[in-house]
Amino acid sequence: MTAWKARQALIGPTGSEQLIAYSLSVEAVFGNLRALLGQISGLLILIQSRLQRDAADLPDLAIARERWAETIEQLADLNVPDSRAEDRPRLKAAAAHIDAALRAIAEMRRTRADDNVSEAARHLNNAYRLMQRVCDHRIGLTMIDTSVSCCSCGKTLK
Amino acid sequence: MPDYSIWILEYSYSNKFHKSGVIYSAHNEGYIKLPYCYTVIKGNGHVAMVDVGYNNKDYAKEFAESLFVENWHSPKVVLAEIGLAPEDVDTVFISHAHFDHFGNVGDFPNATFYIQEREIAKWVWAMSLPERMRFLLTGIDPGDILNGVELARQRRLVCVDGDMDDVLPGIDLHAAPDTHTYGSMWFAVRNDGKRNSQDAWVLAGDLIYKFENLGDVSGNGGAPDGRYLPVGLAVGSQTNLINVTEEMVKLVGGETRRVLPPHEERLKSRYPSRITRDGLRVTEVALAHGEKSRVTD
Repeated sequence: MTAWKARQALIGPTGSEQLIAYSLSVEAVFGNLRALLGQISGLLILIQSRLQRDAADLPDLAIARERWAETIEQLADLNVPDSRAEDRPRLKAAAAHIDAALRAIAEMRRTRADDNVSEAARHLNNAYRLMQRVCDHRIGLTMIDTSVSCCSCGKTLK
Repeated sequence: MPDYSIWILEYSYSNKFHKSGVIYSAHNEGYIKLPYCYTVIKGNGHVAMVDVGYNNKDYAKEFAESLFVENWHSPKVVLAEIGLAPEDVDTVFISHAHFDHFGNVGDFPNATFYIQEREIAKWVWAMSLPERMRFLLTGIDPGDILNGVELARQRRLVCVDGDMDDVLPGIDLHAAPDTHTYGSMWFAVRNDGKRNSQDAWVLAGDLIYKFENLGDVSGNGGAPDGRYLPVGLAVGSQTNLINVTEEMVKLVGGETRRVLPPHEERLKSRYPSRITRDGLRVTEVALAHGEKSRVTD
């Protein structure tokens, strides 16, 4: 089954071609933001558990920063249908919070680490809430990927 | 008499989970009921849990439609069936970070959580990979990891590196790296407190889903009468899953009934159980000295 047909089946007969095309392109943006959110959150746990405050040097952060920049470009290119008009501002706002979280971690060497952890976590919580408001499993936008642990075959086949 | 009572509490279930997801090689064998459960261990002045389930608030509709999950009830309702409240829980062992195990930490305000550091570290790695490698993120909610940040800030998250004995008296944590997940963990309750226990129970997390995974083909709960089969869903190695199954079975002297898979529906016919008014199962595996049964009158 092609990705297009799989998504068409999931959205149902009322889905326009524009919505199907959008769902396939926004999924990558959403997936990147979701992964960034999880990655940075995990780093914050490790920073605290290892008492390792110079997180700004971690290679993972450089990878996250690159991915964030790539995601911003993808976000700008989205062709958003009217029915999903609120998605772009929400995703942009979520991306801004993730950027702020990355900057808070980068600041850790210069200020009190606990404050930076709190600041980063606050931004990530805001980003998470914004992304939750965009979620719609029919167009592949979910905070948990259960596509291989369920029986709705073809949901994300590509 | 046993030191700890052990209950396995169902908090939700899927009536249509594909069998190949739980037993490797069970292709084209249709669907089974998959209970979602957590385990309560009470004794020695502690109330501990293995895993905390997920919070249905955000996912009810999505899970109902995609995983056929239904009848979710909160820990407050579920724990009340054994006379406890979430606030009573002082220790939580997280078998792994999938949403249905690590997804509801907020409901346990007084608990300290134990998780393998590898489980966090490797999810961080997996999340840094390109979208085309997303399989490696199956079942993870980044929001749960984010909630872990707050636990760590409150000094209520202990990241464990490997095995750890007597975390509570007679309760040991066993690491199972690169199995069901990167940093899965299983638990031994030595219910007589002895190092070479004659009354040990293994809480298997998702390293074992069904009796078949344990080679318990007949379902008798004795020594394995068939081959071990790995669980169907894993990001680690089948070899590691088989090796850890052997470790578990050896720890209980070959008595597979002492290895407890929380997703196994047939636990209800092996141990005293009852169905609550809400249609959820309470299974009583062990009763500590002085503890009254929660499944019989």
